[in-house]
Amino acid sequence: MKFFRFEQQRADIIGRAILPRGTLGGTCDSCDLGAEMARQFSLTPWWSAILTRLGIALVWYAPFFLLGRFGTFAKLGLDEKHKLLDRFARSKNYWLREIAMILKMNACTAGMANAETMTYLGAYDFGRAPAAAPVLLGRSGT
Amino acid sequence: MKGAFHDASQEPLDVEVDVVVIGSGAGGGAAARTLTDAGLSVLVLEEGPYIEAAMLGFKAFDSLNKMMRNGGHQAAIGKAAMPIIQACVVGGTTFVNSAIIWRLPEKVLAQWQKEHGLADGFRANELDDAYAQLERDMFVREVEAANVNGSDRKMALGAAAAGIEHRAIHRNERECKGSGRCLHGCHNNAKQSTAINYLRRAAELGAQVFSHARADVILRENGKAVGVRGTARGNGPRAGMSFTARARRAVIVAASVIQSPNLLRRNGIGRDNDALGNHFMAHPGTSLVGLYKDPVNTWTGAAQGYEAYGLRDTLGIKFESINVPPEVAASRLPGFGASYQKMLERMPHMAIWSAAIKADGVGSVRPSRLLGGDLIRYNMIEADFVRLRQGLKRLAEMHFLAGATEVLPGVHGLPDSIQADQLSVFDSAPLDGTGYGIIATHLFGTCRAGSDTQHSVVDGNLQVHHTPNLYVMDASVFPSNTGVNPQHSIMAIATMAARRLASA
Repeated sequence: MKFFRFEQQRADIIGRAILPRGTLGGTCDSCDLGAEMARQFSLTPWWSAILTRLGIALVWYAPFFLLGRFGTFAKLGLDEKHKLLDRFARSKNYWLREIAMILKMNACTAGMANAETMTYLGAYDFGRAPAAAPVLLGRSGT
Repeated sequence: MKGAFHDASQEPLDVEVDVVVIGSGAGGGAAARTLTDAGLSVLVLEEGPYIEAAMLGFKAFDSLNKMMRNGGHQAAIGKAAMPIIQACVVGGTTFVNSAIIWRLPEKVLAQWQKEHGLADGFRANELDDAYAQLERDMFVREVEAANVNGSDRKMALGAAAAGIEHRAIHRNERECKGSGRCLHGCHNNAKQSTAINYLRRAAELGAQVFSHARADVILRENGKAVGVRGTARGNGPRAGMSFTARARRAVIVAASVIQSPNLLRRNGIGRDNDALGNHFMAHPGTSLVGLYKDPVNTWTGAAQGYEAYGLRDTLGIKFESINVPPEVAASRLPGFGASYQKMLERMPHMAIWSAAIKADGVGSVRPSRLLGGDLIRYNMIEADFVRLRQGLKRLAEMHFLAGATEVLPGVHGLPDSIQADQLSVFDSAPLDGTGYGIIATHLFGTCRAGSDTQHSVVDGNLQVHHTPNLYVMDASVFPSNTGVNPQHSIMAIATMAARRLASA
């Protein structure tokens, strides 16, 4: 399955609400979140992709259904976007919580998977921290 | 041919050998090596690609997409969707796991022998001999001090203070450089996956290992298994073409706990057997994040360097340090907005520890045309969740004893973050899967071994009941879950059975 163009634009806006510019020292800023989320979507099996598609649609129109306001997710201020996403994440409904988690994972796997972010976090062999003082570990002990 | 391995989408694959092995993971790799050592001609069929170290990256989505079945989007369906991670590459899951080595606990073996009539089939002395050989050949040793990270050291401190037995993890690796990327496949070729060790050794002795070779039909004559017909996958000129491999002595199915029973069922084998595809068991696991004042550098060193196993016999729970890829870990952190951004900044200070449970829940596996080929139904039972929340409470306690300033439970309905005096919140954690982020990694039981031909699929030699020359050699033959990481036991049991087959 592939994103429609409007879905890619919506994914970019939702993704940027999750990872606003400046996050992690700005290391996620150069990523075109919408394009990367679209690439990932195209490689995802239908049963998982359909949750992403549904999630984007639900979040997009949530201001109307949850807040009783005309306008879409894009029209909200950043704080309001965060509060809305948080309502999904804390919902009593398992599938709404899953949708919030899936969108967060889509945004993070798209935006954070780059050498700059890994270096910033000191992850893998990008930013190996200086060796800590040696500590003797117990062998099978209590 | 890439190194010692062939690609069915590039080269013709119509051969006759002594033994055809379906699957190249722990079971298939051990069987292929053992049979080749014994002088038999062996063909190994692997549905997935062969991936060289130079092709490995660090991006979680791409690693999952390239190496995992259904791109890592496989899940068991129950009250909650539980992701099930299975590799689909040469080397199987040994290629992407953390190389953790445990022998089968004596209690579990004794239970299998007593309750499933396997006293003659699974003999302790034969298994011990197989374990010893594997440990020599695969360079098993505890994680070197240089590859122990801050999260591991904190777990050592916390487990010691909590009085829970613990140790540095024993792994099969050689010259590990501590890049922390085990879960993406080892880009230093240090992890001794079957692709690096056993299959390569078998290929050097003449075994043919084909990637992109999917087994579809188990050929039978007069009820005996005599070969395999399959389809080449991949992108080469032969992709989509069928192949036939004849087997003079045996066909071994080692395609995993999910694919093995479904391959048998699709071939009409064992359909009237009430064990085939049933008794699916697992070690479902979740994780707790501890936040520390100093950086713990979770993403350096061994991907999993330390374990606390002292609650295995009481709660049926084992704790391990784990470096979940940063972008995946980030998606499990609570909140949005400024609080979330602050949380992301603190990631280098986070130690992630997993709790895996020897769950009593039982599920089933069936073929499915809709869901990538397999339908997995599974639920943990309430007693499993009672033990899980007790285990999480102990794990949080360990974090605080190790110096954590706060712990992130990651459980729906509990606070986002707790302090040391709030451990009792776990007593009210949910008793169903919808409240947790649970993943199942170790799977068991869908072709279980036993002496009763109606309630088990294979006998003590791992031969399928009523189907001569057809064997199953993977964790699907385990009559129950084990409570410890299963790779070593899968390889030992396959080695034992392959030795018997070779000498028969």
